Amino acid sequence: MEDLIIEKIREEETRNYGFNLLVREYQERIYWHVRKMVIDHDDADDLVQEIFVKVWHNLGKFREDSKLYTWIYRIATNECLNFLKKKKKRFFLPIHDLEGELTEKLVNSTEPSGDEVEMKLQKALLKLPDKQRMVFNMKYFEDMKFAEIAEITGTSVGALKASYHHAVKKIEDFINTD
Amino acid sequence: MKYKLDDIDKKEAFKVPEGYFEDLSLKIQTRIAKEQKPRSVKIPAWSLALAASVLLLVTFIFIIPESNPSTEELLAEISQEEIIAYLDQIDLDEYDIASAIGDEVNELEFEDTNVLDGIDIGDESIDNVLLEYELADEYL
Repeated sequence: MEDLIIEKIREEETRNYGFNLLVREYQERIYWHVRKMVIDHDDADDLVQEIFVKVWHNLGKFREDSKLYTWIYRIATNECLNFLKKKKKRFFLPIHDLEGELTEKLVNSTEPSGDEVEMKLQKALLKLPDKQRMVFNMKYFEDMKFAEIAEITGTSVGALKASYHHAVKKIEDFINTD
Repeated sequence: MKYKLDDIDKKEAFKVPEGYFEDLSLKIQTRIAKEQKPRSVKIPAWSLALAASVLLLVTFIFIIPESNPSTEELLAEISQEEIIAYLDQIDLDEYDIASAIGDEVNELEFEDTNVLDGIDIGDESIDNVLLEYELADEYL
């Protein structure tokens, strides 16, 4: 599918069609990638739209030496981290409790049937720094390879592995303490 | 029970509105189409702020002085006889006059340091003035 999309977006006449295919192919994955970071559905919805608008405007800059999906993920990841950074800055207090705000949203936006331990896992994730949380999500929930995450985040595989294992330890410690 | 991460089910915990993904691609296409339309002339916020400031400045410079005439304009409407009669009635001392003139005098005082240039004052004349005003002890 990726090859077909690239072929279509390469040509001016078929670019719209190719982009349409691209959106349909990746919208769901990008949505979940974003949603796990910003928690709130409306924020995720807005951000996903912005991400694909950005993808559209930058199609000409896509270099075919990297995979299309890692390129889209890179845009999505940067947009997400910028969104969270801006959210922190929007408050006048020097240390804004973004974690508290996201935890509150988490309680309101999860399935009521979710197990207690699953909720604890989500709460533990919010205790991680944003970038580490994102790396954890990509590895744990999205089953990405460290090499792919390295390409998306521009971080070395070694550093990512260390970050992931550190995150796992922090999460397990949190889940197992009352 | 001690949990390991692998013991926890990876199922999706978040709720999504029904049919959301069916409409999402259309929403994205619409947003792009809107952006590509020739934009009506957008006036940036800063230029509006600048225009408002200029308007305010013009108001201060041209309109407000007309509604609040200056002291000179007000005095011009009063006849000299009336001013003399007024000054005659009130009891002005040196202090009142000095404070009325205020800082303007200080500004003028040092503006031209060569005020005595061209005026020939001999030592004898100065001595006479000092003696006359009994200042010789202080300045000689």
